[in-house]
Amino acid sequence: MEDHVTLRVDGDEMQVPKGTLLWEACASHGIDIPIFCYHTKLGPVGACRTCLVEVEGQTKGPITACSTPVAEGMVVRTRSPIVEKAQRGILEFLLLNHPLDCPICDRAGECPLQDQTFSYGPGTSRYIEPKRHHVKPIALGPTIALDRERCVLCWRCVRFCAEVAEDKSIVLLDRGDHTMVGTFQEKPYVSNFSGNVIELCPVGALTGRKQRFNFRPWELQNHPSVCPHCPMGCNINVSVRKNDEVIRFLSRDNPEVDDSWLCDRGRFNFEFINSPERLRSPLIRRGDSFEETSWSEALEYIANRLQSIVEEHGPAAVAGVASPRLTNEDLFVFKRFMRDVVGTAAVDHYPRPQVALTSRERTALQALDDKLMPIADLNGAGTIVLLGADPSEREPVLELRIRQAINRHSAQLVVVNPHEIALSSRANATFDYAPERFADMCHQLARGLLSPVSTAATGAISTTSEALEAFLDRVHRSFANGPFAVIYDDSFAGVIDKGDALSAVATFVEALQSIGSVGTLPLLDDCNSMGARDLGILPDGVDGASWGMPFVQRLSAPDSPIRAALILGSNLARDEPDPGFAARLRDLDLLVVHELFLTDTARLADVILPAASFAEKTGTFTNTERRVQVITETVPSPGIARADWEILVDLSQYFDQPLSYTLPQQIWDEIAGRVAAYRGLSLSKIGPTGARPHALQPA
Amino acid sequence: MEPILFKHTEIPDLDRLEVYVDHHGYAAFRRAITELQPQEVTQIVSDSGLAGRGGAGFPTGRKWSFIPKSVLPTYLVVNADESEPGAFKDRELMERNPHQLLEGVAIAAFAIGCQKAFIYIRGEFLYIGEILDAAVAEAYAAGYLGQNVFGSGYNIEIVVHRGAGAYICGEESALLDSLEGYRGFPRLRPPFPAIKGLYGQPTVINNVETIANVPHIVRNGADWYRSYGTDQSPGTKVCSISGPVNRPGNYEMNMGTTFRELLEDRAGGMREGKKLKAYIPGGASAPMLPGTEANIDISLSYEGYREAGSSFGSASFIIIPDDVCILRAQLSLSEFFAHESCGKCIPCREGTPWLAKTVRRIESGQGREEDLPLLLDICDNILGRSFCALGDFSTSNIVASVKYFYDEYEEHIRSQACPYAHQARAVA
Ligand SMILES: Cc1cc2nc3c(=O)[nH]c(=O)nc-3n(C[C@H](O)[C@H](O)[C@H](O)COP(=O)(O)O)c2cc1C
Ligand code: SF4
Ligand code: SF4
Ligand code: FES
Repeated sequence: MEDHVTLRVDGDEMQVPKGTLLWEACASHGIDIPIFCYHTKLGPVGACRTCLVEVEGQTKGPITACSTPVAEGMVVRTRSPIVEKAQRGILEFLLLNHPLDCPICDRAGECPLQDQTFSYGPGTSRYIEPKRHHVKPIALGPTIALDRERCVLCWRCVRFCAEVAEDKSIVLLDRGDHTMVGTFQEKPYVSNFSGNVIELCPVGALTGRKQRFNFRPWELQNHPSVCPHCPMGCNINVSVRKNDEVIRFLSRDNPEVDDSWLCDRGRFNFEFINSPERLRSPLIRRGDSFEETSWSEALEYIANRLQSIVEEHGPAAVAGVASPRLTNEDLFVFKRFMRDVVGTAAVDHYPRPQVALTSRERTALQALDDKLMPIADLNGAGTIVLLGADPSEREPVLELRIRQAINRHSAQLVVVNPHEIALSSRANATFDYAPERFADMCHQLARGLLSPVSTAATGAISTTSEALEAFLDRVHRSFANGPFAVIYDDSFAGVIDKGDALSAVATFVEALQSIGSVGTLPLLDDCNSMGARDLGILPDGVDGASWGMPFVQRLSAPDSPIRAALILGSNLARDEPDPGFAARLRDLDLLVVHELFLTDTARLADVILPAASFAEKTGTFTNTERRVQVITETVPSPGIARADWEILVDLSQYFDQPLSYTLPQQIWDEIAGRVAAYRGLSLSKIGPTGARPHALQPA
Repeated sequence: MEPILFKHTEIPDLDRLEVYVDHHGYAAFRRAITELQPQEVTQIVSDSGLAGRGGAGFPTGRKWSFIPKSVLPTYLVVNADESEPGAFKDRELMERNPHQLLEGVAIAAFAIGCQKAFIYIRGEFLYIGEILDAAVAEAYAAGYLGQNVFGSGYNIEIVVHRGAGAYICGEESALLDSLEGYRGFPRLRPPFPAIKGLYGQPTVINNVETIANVPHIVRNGADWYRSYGTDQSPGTKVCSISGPVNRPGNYEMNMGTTFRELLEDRAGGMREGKKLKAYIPGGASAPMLPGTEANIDISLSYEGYREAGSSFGSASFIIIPDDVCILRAQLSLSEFFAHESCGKCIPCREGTPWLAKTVRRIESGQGREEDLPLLLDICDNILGRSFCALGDFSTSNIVASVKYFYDEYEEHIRSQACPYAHQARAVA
C-alpha cells in the first residue's frame, strides 16, 4: 500500500490513497465534517472555514479539512472542544446577516445551512447590530433568481462558472461584507447550464425562476430516472408531488456520464409531462374531427382495417415508424408486432440520418462502432477531435466533459468544423471547410496524416506545394498526442455527400490510428437513437446491408406500395421539409399515431392512441456510448393513456399470433437473450447508473 | 551610524543615475553577474541573516533557495503595496533612491534565475510610480537592464505595475492575483508561491526594503552586514514614526538600539504637552503596548517586540498620546480592517464589521456589560480561523487594548459616554 497513507481520525486508524483531501478521507469513513464552500465536483477554495479540524502539530490552530491533503501519521480530531467552538463561531458569523426567512424559502427542508446550524451551530445569536440588506430577489438571468441576503458567499456558483462551464458569468462584486454575487455590469446570466447553480447553492440564494414558491421540499418524492432530451443520457431524479405532479428534474450523479451536471434543455423541460394538452383517451376520426373512444373500440377498428389491407395488398403494404425517444422495450415490441404479428419488415425510426447505407457505408459504420468509447474515457484522451460535431448543440453536457478533460486531464482539442462553435475557444487547433465538403475534409486530413511532412505527394489537394507543406505540418502538429477521441455528428446535417460521410469518417479514424489508439463517439438524434439502431428498427437494404431506403423516401416514391402506417411518436408532418409529405400521409388507407399530444402528424391520423411519457413507464434507454440505463414509472399517465408496448400487446390480441408480454422486465430479458448488441446484459447487471455491454466483455 | 539604505539623506540627488553610479551604484550587480554564480549570491544573502522587511521577517536567503532549479520561467515580484496604517518607509526608499531598489531587483532576479521581475506598487503612489518608470528607463538606456547586461549574456527586464487600491493586495498571494489582472483574493496554500506563484510559475515575493538591502550586502559581504544589528536581527531597519512627536518621519535605525532612541533622539520626543499613552510598534496589525518606561526601552528588533508580546512587523510606530480615547484609536483600526477585509472568508468578512460596530457602539455610549467578553470572543473566533493573516491582524489590537485599557472600556460602559468626548472632537 505505498500509494496509501495511514492517519488517525478521532482515534480510529484509516488508510486512504495519497493526495486525498482530509475531508474526502473522513467522508469515505463515515465521519461527517460540515462544509459549505467545498463541493466534491469543484476544486477547494477554503472560503467558508466551516470544515475546521484539529491536526496535531499544527501550531496555528485548526485547519480546513476541505483543502488539506492527508499526510502519513496525521492525527486528526473532528470533535474536540476547539473544533466545536470553531464550528459554532463560524455558523454564528454565517447567520449574523442572514434574513432568517426560512418559512418562505424554497430551500427550507433541504438546506445545508439549516442542517449544519442544527447540528453544529450555536443556539442563539449575540448579534444586535442592524443587519445588512439587499433588494431581493433579483433576476440574475432568464432562468435564475438571486436572493443576496440568503447568500453565504460560498463561491460555488462562481466556481461553477469559472471552472466547469468556463463562462465566468457569475462573479463576486464589491469587497468585504459588501461582497455580493452578481454578473459583470449586470449582464443577464445566460448559459446552457444555468440550472446547475440552483443545485450547487447550499442555501436558498439561487432558485429557478420557473419553480420559485411552487412547492415545499418535504412534499416531494424523488424517483431516479434518465433525462429524455438528448442521447447523452444524463441521470436525473424526478421530483414528484402528491404522487402525480412532476415538479422538477434534479441531477443524479453518474460519474461515468454526467458527473452530476445537467443542461438547461434537460433540466427545465418537464412541464410537458403534466400538460393539460396531453391526450387522455383514444381518438377516432369522424370526418374532419376526432371523437373520444374506448381502447377496445379503437384497437378493434385498427385490427380490422389492418387485416383487410394485408388481405388485399399483402403485409408489405403496412409500414411502421417509431421515435427513438421510445424505450428499448417499446421498440422491441414494436418490431415484433410489425414482423411477427403483421408480417412486414417495413420498420424504421425517425428522426435519423436520412440515408440508405451501401454495404461500404455499412462496413464503415461497423468499424466506427467497434471503436465506440466510454464517455468517461475522454479524461484519458491525449487529443479530442470534434469532427464536424458540436456537442454544445446536440449533447450539451458532453461539452462539460470535454472541458473537464482539457482542464483537469490536459487533453488537447482539435475542432474540425465549418463554423465557430462554443468549444472553438478552447481548441489547440481548428480546421474549417465549406459546410458541404465534410467528406473531402476528412479525406484530406486522412491523407495528410499518412503522408510524411516533407513529401508533397498528395496531388489530390489542389493547393500550391508551399500551402500544402504548411497544411501537412499543421495536421501533424495537431494530431500528435494519442490516444484520440473522435466525436462525429452522425446526422451529417448540411452535408451534401451524406452517403459518403460515414466512410470518410472511418477513413480519417483509420489514418489516425497510425499515430495512436482511437475511440469514437457519435452525436445522435434522440435519447434512445442508439437503442433503435441496436434493435434494428431499420428497413432492410436491397443488397443485404441493414439500412434500406428511409420510410420518408419510400412513402414519397411514386410507386410506393405502402397503404397503412403506424407512427409511434415521430412527428414527421412537422419535421419533414417537403410540404407534400403530409399529404402522402393523409392519403394512406390507414394511419395510426401513438402520441402524447395532438401533433401535426396526429392530426392526419385515422386513429390516435394516447401514449405514456417516459415518466409514466418503466424501461431502458441506450445512450450515445451504448450505456443501457433504467427509467422508472414515477407518475400515472393522464386519463387512460398507456405505454406504447402495452398498446401493441393489446392490439396484437386481435391477431392470430398475439404477443404475451406483461412486464417491461420480461421484455428486457428477451432483448438480453436475443439481440446481439445486448447479449448477456441482464437487468441485475444494469443497476442504478446503467451498464455498457462492451464493458462486460473481457478486454 | 552611517546610513545604509538612507544614503539619500546625506547625498543630494541620489535619485539620479549618475549620482547613484558615482556612489558605487550598480557595482554590486556587476560583481554578481560577472563574478558570482546565482547560488553564491543566495548564499551571501543567507549568511547575512537578512530577514523580510514586509512584516513577517522570513529569512530572505532561505526564501530564494526554495525556488526549484529546473522550472522556468521564474519570477521576482517586489511588494511595494505599502498600505498598512502607520507604514510609509517603502515610499521614501523608492522616491529618493529608486536605483537602489532596481539594482537589488536585478541581483535578486539573477540569484533565482528570473529574467522578468515586477514591482507591484500601490496605485495611490502615483508620482512614485512615475519616478520608478523614469529610473527603469534610465537604467535600460544605460545598459544596466535589458539584454546581455555587462556582456554577461544575462537578460533582465523590470515591469512597474500599479495596484488598484486594496490593502489585501499587499498580502503576497492576493498580490499575485491582482498582478495577473484578477481581483485580489488570497490564494490557497499549498502550493506556495515558490512552487506555483505568478502565472503558476516559481515566484519570490519580497518587500521593497528587503530588496533595497541586497546591493549593499552583495557589495560589502555578509560579515559586514552582520556588524549591524543584533544576532537575531542583523542589519538596520527603516522605522516610520507618526503621531504627535516633534519630527515624525522615517529613520533608519541600527537594530538593537531602543525605541527610546527613536522616539526621543531621532523623532525629537513627544510634542509639547503630550504624553505617551501607548504605541503600536509594527503597523496596525501589531498589538499596541502601553507607554511604560519598560516598553520605551524595548530594543528595536524582531526578538525585542516578540518578547514584549507584540510584533516589530514593518517597524511602523504609531504614537497614541494620553489625550486620545483608546476606543477611538481602536475604532479607527477596526474600521480599517472591516473596510479592507476582502470578503473571501466568513470569519473575517463577518467578524471584522461586527468588531467595528461593537467598538463604535461602546465608544458612543451604548455599550453593555456583555460587550467586552463578546469582543474578545469574536476575536477568538476569528484568530486562527480566517483564511489569511488580515483576519488575525484585525484582532490583535482589540485584544491588546482591552487587556491594557480595560478600565477605559469599562468607563465608557458605566457612564454610557466617552470620557474624552470634548477632546476627541478636537483631535479628530
Ligand atoms: C493583509 C496583508 C497585507 C500585507 N501588506 C504588505 C505590504 O503592503 N507590503 C509588504 O511588503 N508586505 C505586505 N504583507 C506581507 C506579504 O504577504 C509578504 O509576507 C511580504 O511581501 C514578503 O516579503 P519579505 O519577505 O521581503 O518581507 C502583507 C501581508 C498581509 C497578510
Ligand atoms: S449564491 Fe449560493 S452558490 Fe452562489 S455564493 Fe451565494 S450561497 Fe454560494
Ligand atoms: S482573512 Fe479572509 S476575508 Fe479577511 S482578508 Fe483574509 S481571506 Fe479575505
Ligand atoms: S468547506 Fe472547507 S473552507 Fe469551506
